[in-house]
Amino acid sequence: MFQGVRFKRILVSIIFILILIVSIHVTSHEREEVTFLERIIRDTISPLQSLLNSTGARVSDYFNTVIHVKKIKEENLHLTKEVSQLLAENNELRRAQKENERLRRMLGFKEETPYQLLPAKVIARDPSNWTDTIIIGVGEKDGVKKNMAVVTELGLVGHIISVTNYTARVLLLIDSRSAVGARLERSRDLVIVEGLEEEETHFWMKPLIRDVDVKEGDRVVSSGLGGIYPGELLIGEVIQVKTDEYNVTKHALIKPFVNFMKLEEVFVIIGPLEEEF
Amino acid sequence: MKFAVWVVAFLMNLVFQSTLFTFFQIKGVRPDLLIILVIFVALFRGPVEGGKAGFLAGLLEDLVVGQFIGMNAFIKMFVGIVVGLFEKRLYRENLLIPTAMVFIGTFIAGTLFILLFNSFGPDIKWIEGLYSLVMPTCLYNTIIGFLIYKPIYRLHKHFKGKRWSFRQIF
Repeated sequence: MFQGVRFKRILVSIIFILILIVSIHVTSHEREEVTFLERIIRDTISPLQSLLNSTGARVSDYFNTVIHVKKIKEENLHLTKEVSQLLAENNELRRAQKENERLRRMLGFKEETPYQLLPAKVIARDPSNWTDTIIIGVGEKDGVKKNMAVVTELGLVGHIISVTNYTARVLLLIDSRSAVGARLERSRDLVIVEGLEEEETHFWMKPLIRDVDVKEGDRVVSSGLGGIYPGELLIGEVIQVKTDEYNVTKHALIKPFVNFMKLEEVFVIIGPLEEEF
Repeated sequence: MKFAVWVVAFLMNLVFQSTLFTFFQIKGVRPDLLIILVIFVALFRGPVEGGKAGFLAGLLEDLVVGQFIGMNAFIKMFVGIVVGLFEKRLYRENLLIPTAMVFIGTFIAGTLFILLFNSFGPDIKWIEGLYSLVMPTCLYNTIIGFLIYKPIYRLHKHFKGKRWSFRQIF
């Protein structure tokens, strides 16, 4: 009896193992069909798997960050350094590009203009608040004389009021002491353009005749009659026309073409081109 | 009912193994959570229970993998029986013994796997397989086993009083 049970057990075990071996062998190759049982199990766990997979990716991402925090820190430092270096380089290039553009414009102007121009760098601005003058890096040795006109490619800047061997002081048009004989380009009416004491960024236009024909948007050019400035140099644009209290004379506010706050390079008009020949 | 609980437990481990732990591979190796569980069941309940648990866990794994169905069932059953034979002889409160059993059990499973794989599938070189697959898995499993033994032992003791026995399943 006992032996029978033992024999039965061994037999069952052998059959069991044989079934397993057959199963392993049968499923060791690619199969066409998936069994019902496999289908159920795989379909049951697949939503969980996909959920945990995305969770796992996030968790592992987090741990990777934590684990590599030192490396990331170093990389960050390195990159920060590189960024600031590149920024500095970029700034330098941009500055060079701007300078290039400006110089090109000035060169173009110099070639077009009928005057003999001496380029000059602005080396200093007026230290006092009361006057608007600049000091330029050319002087007597370069042929600069008092009362010569100073311009940029955009328009009239001012005139020389004093000269040393290597420098010259320029009184800007926006200085309240400055006044220049001018013309309205459209109507050819003569006017006087003065610096404004209270507002250094604009000019004040006074008429020389009674019925001056002035409109907003009119361009103002030098008249060439004052003896200092040659004629037809751009000064600015009328932005506001004002009539006095008796409704007789018209004054106007003029916006200069030149940005007096940002002067870097100017030209001194040494003389008309014809003089060279 | 009890059978379903085991199936769910093993399936959960399978899911973890195939998802979360793919992100925590060490040297390209994942831990074999199921074999750890089978080894613990065998240690707590002896060779018969261990063998059954191993068979069930392995079969589920095989069905999920879909190839060589029966291979993992056989291997895990074998490990469950072998480890279960030590049930009465080992002092389970000591953390070192189950940890060592996890190492030994995983090693047996790995060796059997190479053996069976070489018989039914493409050849795996023994030295390479042992060095790059079996040993890393053994070490990884040992660490995980060390970490989860205490809570699982507590669970086992908790359910033992409630006759949460594998015998009722089959």
